[in-house]
Amino acid sequence: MVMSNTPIDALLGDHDRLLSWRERADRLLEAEGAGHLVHDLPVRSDGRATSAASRPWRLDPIPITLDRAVHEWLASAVAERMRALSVVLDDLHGARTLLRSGVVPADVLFASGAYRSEAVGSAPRRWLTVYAVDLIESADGVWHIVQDLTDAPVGIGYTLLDRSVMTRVAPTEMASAGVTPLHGFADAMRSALASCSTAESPRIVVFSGGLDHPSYVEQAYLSVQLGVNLVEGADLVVRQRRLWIRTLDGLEPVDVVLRRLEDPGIDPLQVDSYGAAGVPGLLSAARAGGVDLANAFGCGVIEALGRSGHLESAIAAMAPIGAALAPMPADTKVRLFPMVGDDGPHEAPVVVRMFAVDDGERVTVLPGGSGRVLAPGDDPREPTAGVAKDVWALRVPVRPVQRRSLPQVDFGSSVPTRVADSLYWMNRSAERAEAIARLMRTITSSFDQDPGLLEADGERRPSIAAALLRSVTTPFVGGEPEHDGLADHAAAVADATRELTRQIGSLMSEAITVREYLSATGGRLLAHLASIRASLTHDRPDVEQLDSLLADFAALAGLWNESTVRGPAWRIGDLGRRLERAALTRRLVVTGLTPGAGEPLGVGGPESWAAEITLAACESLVAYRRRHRSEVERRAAVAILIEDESNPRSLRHAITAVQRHAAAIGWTDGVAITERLSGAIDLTGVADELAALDSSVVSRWFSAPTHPVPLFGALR
Amino acid sequence: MTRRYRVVHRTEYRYGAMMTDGYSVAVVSPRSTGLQTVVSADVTSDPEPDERDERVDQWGNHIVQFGVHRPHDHSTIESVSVVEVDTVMHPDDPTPWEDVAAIIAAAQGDQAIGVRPFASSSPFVDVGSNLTALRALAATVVTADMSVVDVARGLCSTIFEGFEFDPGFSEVSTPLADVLAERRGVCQDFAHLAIGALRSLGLAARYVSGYIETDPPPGEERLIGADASHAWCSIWTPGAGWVDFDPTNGHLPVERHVTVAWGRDYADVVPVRGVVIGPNADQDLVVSVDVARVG
Repeated sequence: MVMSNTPIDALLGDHDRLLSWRERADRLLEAEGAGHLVHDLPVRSDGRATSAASRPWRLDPIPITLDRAVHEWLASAVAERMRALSVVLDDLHGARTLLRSGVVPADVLFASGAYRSEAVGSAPRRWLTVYAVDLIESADGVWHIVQDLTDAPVGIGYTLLDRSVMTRVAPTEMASAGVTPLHGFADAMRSALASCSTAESPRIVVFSGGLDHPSYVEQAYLSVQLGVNLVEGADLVVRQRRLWIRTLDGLEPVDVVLRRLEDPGIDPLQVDSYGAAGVPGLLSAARAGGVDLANAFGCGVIEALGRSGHLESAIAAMAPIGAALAPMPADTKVRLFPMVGDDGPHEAPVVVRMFAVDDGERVTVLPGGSGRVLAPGDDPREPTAGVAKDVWALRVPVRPVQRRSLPQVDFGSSVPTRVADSLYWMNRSAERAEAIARLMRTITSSFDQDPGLLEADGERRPSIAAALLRSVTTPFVGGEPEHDGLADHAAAVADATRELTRQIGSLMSEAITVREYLSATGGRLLAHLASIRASLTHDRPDVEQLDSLLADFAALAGLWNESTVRGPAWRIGDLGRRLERAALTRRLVVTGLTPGAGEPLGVGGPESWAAEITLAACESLVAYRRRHRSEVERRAAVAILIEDESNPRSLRHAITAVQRHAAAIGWTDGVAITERLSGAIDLTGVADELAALDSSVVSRWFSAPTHPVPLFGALR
Repeated sequence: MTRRYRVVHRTEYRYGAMMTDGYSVAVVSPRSTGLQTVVSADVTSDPEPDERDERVDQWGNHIVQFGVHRPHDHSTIESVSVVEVDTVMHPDDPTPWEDVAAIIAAAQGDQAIGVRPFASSSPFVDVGSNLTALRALAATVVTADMSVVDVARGLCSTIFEGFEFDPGFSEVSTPLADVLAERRGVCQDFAHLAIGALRSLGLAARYVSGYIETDPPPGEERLIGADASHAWCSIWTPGAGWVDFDPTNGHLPVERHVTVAWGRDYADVVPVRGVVIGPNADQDLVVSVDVARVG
């Protein structure tokens, strides 16, 4: 079983080219989100801090190749093993002959913690729908088992993602090598998931651990590839022994759950649960047949038997396999694979993970896989290096998948409540960050162009600048104004910079959890935003950084408007953006234009400077100049920012948009409040009305707590 | 002698705010055993539950699961039952404990399933990491060829005499190591301790939850744990089957006890557990148990 590396051999001498491939892969992975789950994302809108531990990984561009014969042998061994494991699972939870015979000692099994009480005696329609297995090749070309992954197998999403990156990095080389494409696998997987259920047209969800879960990037990517909702515990609820997803329109039934959480974490009501994790009652629903889990509850026990060394004898007793993959003897020399090193090429051992899905009739093995590079001293079960390799199966014929009819879940109209919540806060943060950045840019560039303005007129302009900055950052930050205008300005800029960083982080952490609702291009933008955010370490960002941010925000807003399906999700997000804009515009106008103070503003003085800054910060200076050729006048400036319906940055425009959304989504409070605002806008009263709109949105859709809290123990 | 008891067990939670959802799992309904007959048993929830689910777990215990899906600021689960209890006054099995351990290690068939799960670590009884201390505790009573029932009897009085009952000490999740170090605890700690010591010898022991007669018969002492849920343990013997003993009260056999459920340890048979969904708020818990002799 020597693998053919022919397509790669020619490349190995060209180190510079491989390095450039790796750089390209780094960038593409970053854009997909692997890199931008930074570790310091701030507190989210619901108060949970994100501690995304998903470490960016790197794709080594030299693939591992499996020629057709090798792959076919491996695939049939993997499929056979998957079936054998199902037989073992069935016996362990049913007839228990393995326990009676002592092949699996009951004391060992029970002590493992993985033999779940509620699974004993259960009879799911299928135990294993999804299976992964880690393999390692010895130096003499024999493949061995490292471990089976049966509980919530990780890696299909990573593998598809790595492949999409490789396809962009080396399309020509892959075509000439005859690399078997992977895109049919999502169909096979969807079909296998659907076949868990007896429902005619089952609705499938990916049950994720949320942003804090180490493999969140993968869960999000996989759900997009499968075309199903990515949900968290808070999105789901059990009623009448069925599972439902909470949406803006109420509860919608779920038939199949691809769970990415392990057995102890899926239902807090189970014996020896992880406290509050999971969906209360999920196991009752599964037991009653109201929902099907892939994999079934209890499958984690296979992994425990693997660790305790009883798995091979259990397989041999229950479902002997012909051409078996055997565990690797201790002192086996393993094969080393070529790597692109930072200091030149080298070689390292690699664990290859393969994947399979079972639709009840047939096991389909992914014609490829994911290689994980082992660092010296690594346990092959848990590589630490964070370097992956694409696995190319060459010229393997792929069977077409019989597609099953699935419900047409329209992401435009079926919106989980948590998603709406995230979209709302994502857009508010985006709008807030954009306003801060634009104001800082306007002020910075004015002082950069004419440094004399800083000290002229008794430092009046820096004082005004500080007040304007505070108007868009309070109530979150902002200290007392300083007497000294320059010092006050410096303090306000530092505060605004921190607030800008916070808002970008908040925007990112919300955006990451709703990837399936955003344009695919969004990933690139978020990655770019993340890198600028990381560079905002100084107290005073320069004009170039701010311009770059503004371009990103404009692109984000453009994607939101041009590439998002118009439906409740879009409307809720847009509501957030409009409400934030209305509130910020009002504050800037009150601070910078002091409406009602009477004309004139004077020419070239601090007040007319403030008026110009305010117009520019509201992105309306150009519009003003097109209509009024004179010096800025207070009344005209206020009019264009407050009442001018045709100016998309005006308060009136925002209110009209809110009114339209309110009517479209049946939000009666919103309709009523915006109707009250149809007359001339009173800049004091409107603040309360805007706050009322915000709290009505939040209490109508987002305020119901959804995270379970455990009851105290009751024995005493 | 057969005694007939009426048992009322109330578990009441009061929340500092309205909860939108409440889910609870109750293991509070007495089971029939070789010595105990359940005449009637009823478990109710207030507020009236929107959902109720009953099942029997892998050990044969009766489980009731409730769901309340409307705003509520309290939850009361009440179990009312009538049971008849017999006692074997002099349980005995002369088999030396070493032989019993060998039988357990070699057990096959139904015996393997019935006994071996109780001979290893479980969530609250981590034998492996406390092995030395547990064996040391066992060594204070165990001698070569001692009968398996005498091993249990010895441990029962050692724990009763050497450990202090201290309701203020223990959380439900007190690790065995702390109980061993502080030499104090509550009933479930002492049960876990006895179970751990027996398992460290290769013997099989299970955790039993239940109640004690509230008012003692004339001339007898009121027992510890009589006003709440109680816990004790049971050792497996090849000749006499499972033999219950109560290390908190130093009793073997148990006489005034009503059995609700058993499992490997507390985790398997928590009387009431669950989750609520709602604002962050205080939880006040009041548990009352009344076990009265009737007819």
